[in-house]
Amino acid sequence: MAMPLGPIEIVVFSLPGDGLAGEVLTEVQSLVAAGTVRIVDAVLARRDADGALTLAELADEPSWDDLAGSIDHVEGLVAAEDVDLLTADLPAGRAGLVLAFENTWVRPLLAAVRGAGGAVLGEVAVADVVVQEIADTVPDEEENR
Amino acid sequence: MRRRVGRPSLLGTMARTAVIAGTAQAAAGSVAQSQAAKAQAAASEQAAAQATQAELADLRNQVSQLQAPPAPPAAPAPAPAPSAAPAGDLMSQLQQLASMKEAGLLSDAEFAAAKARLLG
Repeated sequence: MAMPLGPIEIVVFSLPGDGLAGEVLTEVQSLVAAGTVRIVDAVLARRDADGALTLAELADEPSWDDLAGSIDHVEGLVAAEDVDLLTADLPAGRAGLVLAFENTWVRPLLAAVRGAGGAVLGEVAVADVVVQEIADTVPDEEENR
Repeated sequence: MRRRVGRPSLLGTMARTAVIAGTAQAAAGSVAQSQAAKAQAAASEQAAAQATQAELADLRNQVSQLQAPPAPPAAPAPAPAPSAAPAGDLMSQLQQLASMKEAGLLSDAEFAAAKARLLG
């Protein structure tokens, strides 16, 4: 591992079929190329029609092995137990793409906060559907005038 | 899969840390919450295995104190009443924390976080 790890974020996408969507691969690759994120681990979990879960490594998927090569590897950071939990709601016949990545802007910001005598008090990610639902309840100032 | 099976779980470790450091309530999402509940149960079981009933009561009390949500910044927690937590009590709580750490119930980071909370 070349660099020490900062805080990582794990996102799981539910994708149809084998989960190897080309447009998703392209977007992930451009994020990595732009230095926006550093992928530290990735794994695919496929749920078959019977509900059984099978894990696959990107390196074993010819169309995705380019990405596997650019992962700043801590392969196995996401334990099988984590994958089970993260894909608990994955429907049959779909694949869960589990990406563990570091937002590259976090570390310098964190260093500045700590340097200033600060600390991380909390963090939370809010799903877009929730954001929209709540945003819709915010009164429009224009209408109130 | 080779290296994924049988490894410590990120989510489980995170939930356990949240329980000890008292930030479990801040954990969002069903996965985090169910993990926090499991970690709490596991912490109680481990404590039960290692502590006498009296010690266990103390530990529970201590963990629940540590889990109390932090006071809002505008209203810092008042200094504990002398009867509730005299200096000797604080010392014994610190010693208990240290022994929990020795017993492997707390990692270094968890111990530091819990200690920081005790010392306010």
